[in-house]
Amino acid sequence: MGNIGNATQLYLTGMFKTGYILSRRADLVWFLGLPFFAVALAMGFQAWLPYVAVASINLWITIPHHYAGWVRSYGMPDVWERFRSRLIVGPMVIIGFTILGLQFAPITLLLLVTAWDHQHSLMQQHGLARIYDFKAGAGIPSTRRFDLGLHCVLYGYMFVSAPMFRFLWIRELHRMHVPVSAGFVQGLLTVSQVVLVGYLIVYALHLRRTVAAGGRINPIKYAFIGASYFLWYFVAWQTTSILLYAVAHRLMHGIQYIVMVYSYMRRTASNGTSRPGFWSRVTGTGRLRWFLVGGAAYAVLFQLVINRPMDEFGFGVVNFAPYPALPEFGIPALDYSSGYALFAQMMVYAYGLMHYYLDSFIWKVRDKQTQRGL
Amino acid sequence: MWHRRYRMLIGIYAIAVVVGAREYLVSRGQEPVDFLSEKWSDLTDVVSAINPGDPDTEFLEAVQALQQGDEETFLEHLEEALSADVKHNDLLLQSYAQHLLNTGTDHERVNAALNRWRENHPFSVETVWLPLASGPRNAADLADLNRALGEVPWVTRAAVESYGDGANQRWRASLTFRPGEPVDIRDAVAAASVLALPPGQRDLYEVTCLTLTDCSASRRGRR
Repeated sequence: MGNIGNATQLYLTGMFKTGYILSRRADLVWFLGLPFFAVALAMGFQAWLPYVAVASINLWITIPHHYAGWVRSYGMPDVWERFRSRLIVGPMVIIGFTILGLQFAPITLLLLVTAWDHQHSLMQQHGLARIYDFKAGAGIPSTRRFDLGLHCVLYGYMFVSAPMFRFLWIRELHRMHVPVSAGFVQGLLTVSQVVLVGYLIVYALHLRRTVAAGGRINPIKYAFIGASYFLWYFVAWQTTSILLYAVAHRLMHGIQYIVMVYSYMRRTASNGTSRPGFWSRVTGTGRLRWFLVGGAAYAVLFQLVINRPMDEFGFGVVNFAPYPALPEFGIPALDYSSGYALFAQMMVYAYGLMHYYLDSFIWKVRDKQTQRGL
Repeated sequence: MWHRRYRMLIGIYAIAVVVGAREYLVSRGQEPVDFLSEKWSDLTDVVSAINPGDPDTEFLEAVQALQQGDEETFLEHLEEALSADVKHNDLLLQSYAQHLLNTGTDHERVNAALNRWRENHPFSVETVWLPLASGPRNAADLADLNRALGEVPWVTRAAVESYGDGANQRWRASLTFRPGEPVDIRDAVAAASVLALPPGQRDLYEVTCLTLTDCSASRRGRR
């Protein structure tokens, strides 16, 4: 009996091999714990903050995570050289089709953005899960495909079945003049359940095959997948609050992306495997703050360019109300559009004034230092 | 091979072009499916069967009830949705406040509904119609009314317009809100009451309202 117990223990020990993306502690925080924290925070937002907090999360997390992506793709000379044509042609095609979509097929454009967003979200979690296997040396060659299938099935099931999502796609199909009936939707829900259960069985068989073929299983990968889908499933079934989904999902997706980009650049810098560029100016000891400041500055700039109010940074708690009415001067209150015009005028005036002021002391001919440059 | 390099873009936009072309062609031959269309009620029926009791479903059912002229059911559905502490549905929150205002509900409830909407969606471009007891008789009246509404702290823009014909002609003011400013609908009612004063005395008197119907004028500078 004792020998059988020991053999089982040895077998189980041999089955598993742990590996982490960053480190045990960092993974616990950013990849395993963050989803739970994000759900708790989102529930707090739902209880205590107004819906505009979603826009704040977008500005503090989502927009800076785009910035991190820019740095990773356009700020690394090696990446730029390797993918140059795609980095040039891609944005041109995307912007061109977006303009066309807005003019001729707005619903399709909305569906495209939504669908690609979902695909991007699941691929990020799939990619991180792949890194777990890579780090642990786990899995067998076919695991990549089975993992991708697992993500597609789990995410697809949520998209089809979760009340929040099914409301959205039923509505959009109707707007596209594809009127699905309640019976069709019920049938689709049943099919999605069958596919989910069927694939989970197939995946379990794949794990058995992996072990039989001498491959290892990284349990941390499954903890990560479990934490990610806990977040998505939990919030997607809370139909009373889209706020909950928007906050929790954006926190997890954005923060994990930023963490991943920064740690990738930091390791690249310490290995010296990539030529310096903008990325290396914001990477390394004492430079994290500049990377983060860059993300925040990018969000501010983005908000200014799209002419949205800065108040959206304030979670609905801090407001920078636009200019109030001045009845004494017959000036009515300004809305945001007029307020922005006034802000623009202020910038024109202030920049002129700063130029006058700086020139009042940097060009003194009697100054020895100035004389040396003349 | 270039097409392998761009296969992601090609794949995604090939599908998008097909779907977009269909949308373009269909949209030119049929009416859009929106709140006022017949097909919207088909959507409501499907969603009601699939997602019963959801706040967004309640909202669809409320709109359907309103289309059928059933204001009582409209209000029931809205209040059912609001009881779930729903925050995301801008139109639901706005519609509820507008309905309370239209039906002359107690100002405290109207204010609570308006502030709930504005706190959650401070940058919403939706407006609220304030029904006016009487409209401007001439350009001077209109200027006085616009000036008075413009001085309301939470109003950034007010547009006065008439609707209905002949004896049924009515007036209303469309109010655009200032973000971050608490709303007291009595301020707008007081401003709209300026027309009750003789033209020469409008600058001399200030109107204040205790409720949506109980307003009084007092000379400026001595309350």
